[in-house]
Amino acid sequence: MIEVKHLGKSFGNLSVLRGLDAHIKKGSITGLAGPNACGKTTLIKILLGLVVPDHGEILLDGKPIKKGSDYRRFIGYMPQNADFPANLTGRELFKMLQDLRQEKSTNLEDLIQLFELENFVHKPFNTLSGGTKQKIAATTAFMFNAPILILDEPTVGLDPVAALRLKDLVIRSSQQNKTVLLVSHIMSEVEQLVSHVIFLLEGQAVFSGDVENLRVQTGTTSLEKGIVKLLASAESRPSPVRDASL
Amino acid sequence: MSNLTTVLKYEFYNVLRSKWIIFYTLFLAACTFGFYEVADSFEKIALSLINVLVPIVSLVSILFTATYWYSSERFTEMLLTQPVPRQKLILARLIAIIGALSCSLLVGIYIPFLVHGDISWGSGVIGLASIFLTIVFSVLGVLIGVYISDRMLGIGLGLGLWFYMVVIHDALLLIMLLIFKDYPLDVPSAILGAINPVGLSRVVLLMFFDAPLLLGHTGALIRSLVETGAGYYYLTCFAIVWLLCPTFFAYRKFIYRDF
Repeated sequence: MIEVKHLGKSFGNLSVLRGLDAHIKKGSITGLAGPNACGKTTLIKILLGLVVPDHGEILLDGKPIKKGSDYRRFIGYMPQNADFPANLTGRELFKMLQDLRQEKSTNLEDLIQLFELENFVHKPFNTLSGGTKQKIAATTAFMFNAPILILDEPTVGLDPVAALRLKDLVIRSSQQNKTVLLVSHIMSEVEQLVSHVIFLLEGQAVFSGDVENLRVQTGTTSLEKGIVKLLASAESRPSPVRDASL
Repeated sequence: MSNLTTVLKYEFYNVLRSKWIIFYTLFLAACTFGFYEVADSFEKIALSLINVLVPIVSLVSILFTATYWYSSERFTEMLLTQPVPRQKLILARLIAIIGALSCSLLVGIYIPFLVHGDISWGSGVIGLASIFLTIVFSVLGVLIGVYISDRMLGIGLGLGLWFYMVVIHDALLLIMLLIFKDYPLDVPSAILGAINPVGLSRVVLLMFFDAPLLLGHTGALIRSLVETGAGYYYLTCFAIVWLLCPTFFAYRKFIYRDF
């Protein structure tokens, strides 16, 4: 389980996360939703160790991640716009990651086949298209069977076949009790995949729970409508965030 | 294989395969071979080469490193999501870039030396001074990359810094000497001259080849100090400071910065 406790982060005068609390259940596919600049990326970056929080902490199975980098071997990450060293090949990248983690991937060849990368993994990255790089990024996220998967807009740039295969892979991962954290602005995709939602607004979680609960709470029939209603109601009244800042 | 050697190995491969690095090697080799065609002694070739190497090596090192650092920002982020401590990551990347640039430099100038059988103390000093410049300016490139997130501003600053060190610093020193010509300024001028790593390496090289006329004003002042014996101590101290200080600040910033 991932537990986010009173997480705060400011960049200069801009307060991005303001005492964020959230729980991400083990084995769930949790969608991280919210308008632009609500703190989604910052939360993910703190979880990945790219950003240092000002206060609060994140616990992975009860252990704080603040110190050390070893916990990252339990995380598979797929960034929104992947980029790799221009003069290396996919094969070299996979070998590098295996050497870094000192762990041999057992499903690498299956993933290469799944994303139809056989003809591209021997070519340098500066000759590959953005979509092919995204497929390689997906492969790097899934190749170690990491128990936590963080996927940032995973299907953007992928062709429909690869996107469908990736979504199946996400569902299969959840069935294998892996925790998936998904950021996506494609609501149909979120609706199709996630079992839980964390809705962020101005650096705080205004909703955290399962999708069914969100539908019931907002009296709507779909996740998309529920989120829109949540956003509208949060904007129509002074939020706890605004109160706190007064 | 440890984290550090793994990152170092693949970064080194990546940099070494860059078309700019290949062009850099070929350019240096062409210059050195060219000087062999027009000069009749190793000393003359060395002096011509020094005049090309000092500005070119510093320019290529700072610009290539800063550009490489900015263009690999997303890959840096990806590496940081792996179980690699930041301390090891910055050191591995720094060593890889400096290593690849140094290899390219040494291949470019030493193949002509080898072909003409000119492996001597003189060629050794040229290699060492060039590697010193490569290290200092590569670290400055990384320093700019980790402190300034705006790519255009960073590269512009790198160019400005290079221009200052190669051209403006000596000019300012000369103006200062003209303004305060009635005061005894030998020691402060020599120190101000050696503060600049370009001046430092140029002086060491030209002093080795005993070419005082080419030393310029800064060099002449440092040379007068070196002749007293204390100069060697100052030169070594300045070189160590130039090697360690930017590395320390780049290392420290990289460890604590947000990506």
